[in-house]
Order: sequence, then C-alpha cells, then structure tokens
Amino acid sequence: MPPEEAHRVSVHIEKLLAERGMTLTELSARVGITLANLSNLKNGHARAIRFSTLTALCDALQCQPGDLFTVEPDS
Amino acid sequence: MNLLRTLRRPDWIDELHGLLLLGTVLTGAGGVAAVIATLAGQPIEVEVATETALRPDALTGAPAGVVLGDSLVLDVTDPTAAQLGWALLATLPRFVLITATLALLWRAIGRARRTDPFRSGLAASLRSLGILLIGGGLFAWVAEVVARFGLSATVDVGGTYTTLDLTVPAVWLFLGITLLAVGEIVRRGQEMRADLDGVV
Repeated sequence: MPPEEAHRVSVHIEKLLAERGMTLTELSARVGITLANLSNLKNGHARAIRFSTLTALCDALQCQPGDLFTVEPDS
Repeated sequence: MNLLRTLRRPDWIDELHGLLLLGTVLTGAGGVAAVIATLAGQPIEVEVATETALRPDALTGAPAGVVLGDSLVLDVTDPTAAQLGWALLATLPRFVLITATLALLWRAIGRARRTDPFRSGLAASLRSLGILLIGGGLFAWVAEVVARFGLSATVDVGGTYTTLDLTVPAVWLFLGITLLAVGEIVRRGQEMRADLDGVV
C-alpha cells in the first residue's frame, strides 16, 4: 500500500470553474457538499473522493473525471 | 416522560460510568476499612495445614466418610507487627489494583462520553489498563501467595501453608487481554474515522 499522505494527484476544479464562469460557492450548492470540503478537494488536501461526489461534480461541471484530476509524473 | 424515555433507551456509556464511580468508591472505602480494621486489632485469619496443626483424630463426632480438609483457618487475636505486615500484603495489593483499575476506567469512559470516543485517547487508556491488569494482577497474586505463606509461618503450628490458585492470575490475564482487545478495536475505529475524515 502506498503511504497515506503522499499523492501526486492535481485537481483542476479552479480551471474548470473559470472556464464555466462558476464560483466555488455555486458549485458546492449544486454538488451538495460543504464549501469547506470542496475547498479541501480543490487544494489537494482531501484523501479520497466518493463516486457519488465525483458524479455530482462531473454533472455540475459538464466534464469527465479525467478533466478534474491528473496524476503528475514522478520526479 | 424523561424517566420513561431513559428507562426505555438507556445511555449504556452513562450507566457504565456511574457504575464505575460507585465501584471505585465502594472498593476504595472497603480497602481503607479493611486496613483500618487490621491495624485496629481485628483478628487476622491465618490458613495452616491441618495435618501439622491437628492430630488425625481431632475431629470428633463426625459421621463416617467426613474428614478434616487440607487447611484450617486460625484467628490470631493479638497479631504482632510482622503478622500485621503479612496480613496487609495479603490483601492490600489486590484492593489497590481493583480500585486503580476502576478509577482509571471511570476516567477513560468519562472522557469518551464527554467527547468523541474515536478522537479521545480511549484506545491508549484501554491499552495501558490492559497492561496494568496483566502486570499488576500477577504481582498482586504473587504478593498474596507469599504473604499467606509468610503469615502461616508466624503462627508456629508446625510448618507453612499456602494455596496456589491459578484461576486468579488466569482471570487477571483474561481481563487484561480483553481490555487490550477492546483498545485495539477502538484504535482501528480511530484509524477508520481518520480515513473517513479525509473523504469528500
């Protein structure tokens, strides 16, 4: 199992929000999760994401999971 | 109405917390009372071997098939300082261990009740208590056996006597392992809780 805290997943919520002219508060209302949790996810502080949250995010942002996340190459 | 609701759906952590407090107070008071009674001159019970203390025909009037047992309990009405010391060593460690265990458990359960059981130090407290029960229980049992042995030597009825009841350390060991296991369950719960805290 990989170490708990080490991950290289980049979250692109900010970019997608800017492209769609949406705020984080609007997104949190549409997805139905708290602003604090959404901020944690946006800043890469979350440890995992539920499929239900991912589905709601993709629905709200009209995107696919691959548009939301990328794994950075190992340096 | 409140009473009815309480009776129907009791808060078992609260009930346990109350019982532990009651147990701590009663055991502590019992221990102090026992020490005071011993020091105040209450007769000390000493177990000795029947075969060295009495002649085989000492029991009279018993029906056929009824004989004296292996041990005989004597009352020492005017104990010496050494006998008082042995008598205290025979009972005090057990009282101290039970009282300390109940008090520590009461504190740990109280903290878990007031705060989040999966965030407080409940797992660490239960682990420490488990180790205390195993180590302390063994010590208290050995001290009691040695003290009864020493006490029997002071009454001068021809030899020493003690019983090695292995169920006593077995019970302490069982209780200790039970607390260690419950502590481990809580620790795993804390890990799961920490994992869930990071899930969005």
